[in-house]
Amino acid sequence: MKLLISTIFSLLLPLLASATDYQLKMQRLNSLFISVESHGLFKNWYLTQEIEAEIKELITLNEELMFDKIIFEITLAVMNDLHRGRALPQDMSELVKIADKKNVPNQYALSYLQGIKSADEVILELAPKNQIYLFYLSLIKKLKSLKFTNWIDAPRNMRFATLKKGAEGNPANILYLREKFNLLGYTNDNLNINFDSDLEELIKRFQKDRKLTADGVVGPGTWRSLNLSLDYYLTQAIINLDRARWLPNQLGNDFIYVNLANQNLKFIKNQSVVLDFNTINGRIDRKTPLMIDQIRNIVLNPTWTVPFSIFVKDKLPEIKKDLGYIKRLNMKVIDDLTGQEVAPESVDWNAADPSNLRYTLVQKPGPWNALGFIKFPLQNPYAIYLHDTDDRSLFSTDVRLLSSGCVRVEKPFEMAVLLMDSPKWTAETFMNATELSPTVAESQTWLKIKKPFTVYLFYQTLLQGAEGQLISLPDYYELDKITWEFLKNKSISILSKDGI
Amino acid sequence: MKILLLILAFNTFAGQTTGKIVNMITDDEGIKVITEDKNKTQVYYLKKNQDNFLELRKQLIEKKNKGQDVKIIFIKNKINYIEKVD
Repeated sequence: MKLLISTIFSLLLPLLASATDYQLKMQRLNSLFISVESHGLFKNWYLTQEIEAEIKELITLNEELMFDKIIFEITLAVMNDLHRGRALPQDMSELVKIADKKNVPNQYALSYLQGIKSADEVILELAPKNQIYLFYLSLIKKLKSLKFTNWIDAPRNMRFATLKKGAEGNPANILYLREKFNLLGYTNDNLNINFDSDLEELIKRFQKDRKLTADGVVGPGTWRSLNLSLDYYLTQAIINLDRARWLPNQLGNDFIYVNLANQNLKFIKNQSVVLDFNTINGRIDRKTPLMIDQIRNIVLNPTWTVPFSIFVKDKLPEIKKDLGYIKRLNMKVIDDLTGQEVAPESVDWNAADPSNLRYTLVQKPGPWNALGFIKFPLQNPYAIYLHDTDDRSLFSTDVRLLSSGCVRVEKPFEMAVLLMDSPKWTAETFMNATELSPTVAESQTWLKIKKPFTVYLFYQTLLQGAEGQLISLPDYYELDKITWEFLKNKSISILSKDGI
Repeated sequence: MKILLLILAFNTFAGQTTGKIVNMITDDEGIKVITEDKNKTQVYYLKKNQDNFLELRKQLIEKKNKGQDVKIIFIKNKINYIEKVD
């Protein structure tokens, strides 16, 4: 490998050889660092003390070849990070099923070092252009401007006792609370020292936005969230910006965007949000993976295949106790060898164990079905899809990480209407087609939609509300944590002198 | 505690088997694989959240489509979880 890279580099070397001045080359590199800083990539991530010492030594020893090579490798690394993400989807283990973007060609980095391309051109050509990326770019700019104007941190001597209506405590705490709310985009009168109903409502809104218990009481959790530092928000924005590099430049005119961190779905048509509702996503031990996929069909009155582990752990013991359990749950038994339904009575359940359980339990269509009335299949091989549910009450809970990985949608009928995009398919038609009746409930129906519809399952932990509120969400899937580790610690593979 | 560990140790073991795949059934958590060898049916399971899921799935589908014998290396922890396919 080293030999191959050395050979390629030797071939490319004559292109660099014209720029013999070390200073000039360092200037080119520094210009690039200055340009990418506003894109959340920092010089000290690349020019570590160790690498800087190495560069100084090479200049002293006049080892131009090795010097050029190091400068080239760093330039290429910066460009790749700007274009593809410093933390890559493949670094995120099984949680991200998005393909890595292609590497920036070596020739591109060389043309920059030779002065053929400017730093501005590099940014223009390599930095992503999707709206998520552009949002974080502008947010970082806004957060940085706050740093030099009116950002306030909690006074050092302040005690953060619980505040609630009727037990307001120190007026200084209320003033601080109100001022902090204004800074975070929750507009209110920051001279009012009273804990009135308006303030209570504002606190509830803040808590709901940030997935805290919306009780209007400023306890330890709410104080912690309110007191997040500007550096914390900036770091969170940089992390989200880096992940936005995984997305294509254009998300499209029409698409579905699920933010797994916010457990929310936005249906975009002609680049406008036409539906916006809650979702239920994979729980912490069965996280919904990040992916870009497509809906091509809608399934009405779906059946649900009981996962094998649930069959073994929960259902089999119940069936062994009482055969009537299968019918009560509107299940049917399918023989895996023939694919045919068999009568539950024909199976020797007492002899069944997980190593010979050649039967599958399938829940019949109907209001009892775990997938509800509508399923939106995706194309991935991981059995991740969107669907309705038999328990809609769960959509009103604050934190909705409850599924085995699939995404449950709050408004399946409205979504189905938009996907079918036909006067024939209205909300009423769907309701009628899925109403509980013996004919409907016996089988599922597949409908083809006009054109494949793109679905993004993504993860954004820092958002802006409709009125500009800054909303920091908990990092439920610990993806911020992993991304930040890569941002801080990713090293550049620079060959030793022996490699040349 | 020791007794618990002992029970766990007895319940979990690695094994391998050969047979023909007669069916593969996908559910929300992975794929159930049914094999048959000398009229004996065995059930294995491939979890979708394991690192090599896609690769093993591909191998299993190939073996099933070609009707070839498949060697499955598995970890038994109540369910026979597929570790490797040959």
